[in-house]
Amino acid sequence: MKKWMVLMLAVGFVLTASFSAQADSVLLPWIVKNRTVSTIVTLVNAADPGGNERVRFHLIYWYKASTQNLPNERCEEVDFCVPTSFNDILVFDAAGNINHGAPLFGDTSVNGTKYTTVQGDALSLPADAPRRAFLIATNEIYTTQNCGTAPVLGNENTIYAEAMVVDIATGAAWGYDGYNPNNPRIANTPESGINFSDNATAGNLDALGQIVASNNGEYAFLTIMPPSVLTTRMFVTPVAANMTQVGAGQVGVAAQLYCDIGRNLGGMYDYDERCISFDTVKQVICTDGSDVSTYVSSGAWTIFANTRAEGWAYLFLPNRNVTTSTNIQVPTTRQAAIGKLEFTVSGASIDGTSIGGAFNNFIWLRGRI
Amino acid sequence: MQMPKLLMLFLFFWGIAISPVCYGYSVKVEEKTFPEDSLELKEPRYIMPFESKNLWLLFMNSKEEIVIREVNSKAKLVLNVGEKGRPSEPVWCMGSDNSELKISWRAKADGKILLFNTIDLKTNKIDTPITVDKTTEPLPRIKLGCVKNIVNLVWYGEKSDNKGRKYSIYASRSFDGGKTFSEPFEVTPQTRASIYPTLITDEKGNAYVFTEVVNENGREMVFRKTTEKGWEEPVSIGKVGTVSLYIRPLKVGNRLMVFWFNSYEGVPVTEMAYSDDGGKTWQRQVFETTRYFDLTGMQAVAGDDQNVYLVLSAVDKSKPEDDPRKLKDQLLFYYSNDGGKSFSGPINIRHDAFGSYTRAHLPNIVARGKTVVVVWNDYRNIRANLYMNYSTDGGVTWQDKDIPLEEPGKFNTVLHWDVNNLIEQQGTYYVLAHRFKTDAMNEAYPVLISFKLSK
Repeated sequence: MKKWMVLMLAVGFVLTASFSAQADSVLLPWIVKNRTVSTIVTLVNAADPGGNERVRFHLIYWYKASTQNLPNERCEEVDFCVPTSFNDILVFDAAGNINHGAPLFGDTSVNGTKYTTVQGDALSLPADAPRRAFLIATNEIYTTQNCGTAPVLGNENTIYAEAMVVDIATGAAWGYDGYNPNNPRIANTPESGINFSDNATAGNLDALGQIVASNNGEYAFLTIMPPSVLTTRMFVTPVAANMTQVGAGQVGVAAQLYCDIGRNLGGMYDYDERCISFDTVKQVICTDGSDVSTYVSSGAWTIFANTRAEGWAYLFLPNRNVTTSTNIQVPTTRQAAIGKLEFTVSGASIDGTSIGGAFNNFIWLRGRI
Repeated sequence: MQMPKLLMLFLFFWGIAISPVCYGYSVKVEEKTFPEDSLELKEPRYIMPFESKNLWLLFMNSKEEIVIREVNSKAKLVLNVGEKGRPSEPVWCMGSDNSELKISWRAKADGKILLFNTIDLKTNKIDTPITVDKTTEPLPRIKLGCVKNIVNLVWYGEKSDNKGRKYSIYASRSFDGGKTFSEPFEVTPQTRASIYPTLITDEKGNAYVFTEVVNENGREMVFRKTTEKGWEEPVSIGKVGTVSLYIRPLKVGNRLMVFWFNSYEGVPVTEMAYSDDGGKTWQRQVFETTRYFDLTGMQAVAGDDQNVYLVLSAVDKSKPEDDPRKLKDQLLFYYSNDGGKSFSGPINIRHDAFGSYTRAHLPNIVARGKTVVVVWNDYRNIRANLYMNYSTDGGVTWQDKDIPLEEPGKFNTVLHWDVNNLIEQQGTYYVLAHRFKTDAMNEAYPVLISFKLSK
């Protein structure tokens, strides 16, 4: 058994308690770990503990259970705390390729306290590559409590995060800012601070539409560049009131493309406004990054690819069955954070204009009604 | 050494037929290329057999011209000279005089319009196009059939109703050879959506339309026909799953039949139905061996009143996620020797040692009696090549080696994803494909490959 696994087990007992913490939290829905791909995470803490209390980051990784990273494969969890302070910033490579996952740019301690985690001073995901994961970061204000158990009075909007996914070999990169829902802690529901669902409390939780909440009628627009020019990959992380259920594969999400949601016409439009119908349902457990072709039937994709042109569809999360890789049927959340990456690995030619080198373009797809 | 190269270059650019070549089996193959034509890859292209020996091609080029080109002389006509709007989806049929070509297409100028024109191939006279429809907002999915002076047109339109956009199937008919057309008729009214038009025109000019209808109560396969008395009431063939792309109708003698691909709760399967009473009642069948096969190609033909053939390409979705075979299309062939009432199990017509790990798709098929020929796109040589196999006993047995129709691995030659471009004319088989100029696969030209079967 590897060292990190032992350490993970050691901290596992705080798992359940970790989701009862009261604090502000941010979700980074897509962490990518590969030998040549890093996810550089930046965290900012703006919570001032004051008095005799202190503040720390509680990092919770949910990562695919195997290096196969199957779309409907559940995740495993590892969590740990690292010190922070008022107005502190912390940067690290969640893939562990750069500075072995320890804080970057010589930032080795906070107020004299060195970073100590489940794997020495590394804050990276302690699992073999390649892995897909999502990361929840919480700023806990505490006195003597164990990691994940502090009865903290965190304020809304006191934690901020960004992720930069970079291909070390080619320099191609993409990024996004973490999702910190607008859900100030409610006295009787202290767990609301770590609830990323789009209907946890009243009000506009995802002010920028970060969550596609199809149970509330939301959908997203999905445009697809010609497959002969660019590869389009979908990054989907289901979202629920209890993200432990998401990570553990107790709930999932079904995603489907539509020409017309109201008329129940599954499919996509080609370049000439024709609907190409299909009934393909993509089932995602925990998190996934799959090519958009897996959201389309084989025949429709063959036709679309052969047009060598662009297309688009509505993306909706229907109430369809979701089955895990171990063949267990689980409920669907009908909410997810969804991103679209358009990339090449070695340049492209667009209508005769050559674009040198690999490039990435990432769009966080927004839920709208 | 220079001369042969120059000669080859000359031959290449002039598309001169190469002497018959045998690529590994006892079938002699010839090909004629048209490198002077840069194809618009989005659009369909066709072989048009006129008279007894002459062939014409119909395609769109990258200049948005609808081109009609005679194969032997390479004479070229452009149909839409001076016409406004981007054309798409040209379709054709042969008029009462077999030198009369009728073509319809959709143009997008100020609005969406459906156009029709007649070309006399003896005089090269091109009439002024007729606007068949500009009210239904026609989309480029069009079917055309002609018999004598009757012309049937069926298409998919997106005209709005009081609930917003509605996708429906419309039809228009002409009884004067295409000089005038009836007002568009909504073949599938009161529905949420119908998006795949199909059409059979029989020897009397009657039109038969099959399509999926999505309504509030679910999805149905619907049949509707029109005679000289007008459109009859639609007939439901029955509830279906979500139909995707392929609806292939056939009329075999007096028997009507339709094959379709659909999925139930995401599980794909191919089905068919036939009627022996002119479409009043239908018998349905499920091709159980196609369950979980996600289709990438479907063609159905009749060799005669008894021999009916169905060929599919499909990906087996029952394979595990990490199984590479889940991404590779395979060929499935079925035959019927009772006119389509029952079908064989799947017949393997492709022979490649690594067959389940290499793609084979977009099958084209032609049959005469018990002789049936299939040409498909095959990726065993990495690049897309054309391969062929044939049976002379009604599809029961096939040649034990597949026959390449071009030098294996040399070119990227691709069949169209929808149009069945394999024909037989006086014992010679012709297949139309497009060949990319380079591996960048940006630009392609038509290539017509011909062959005869071994005796």
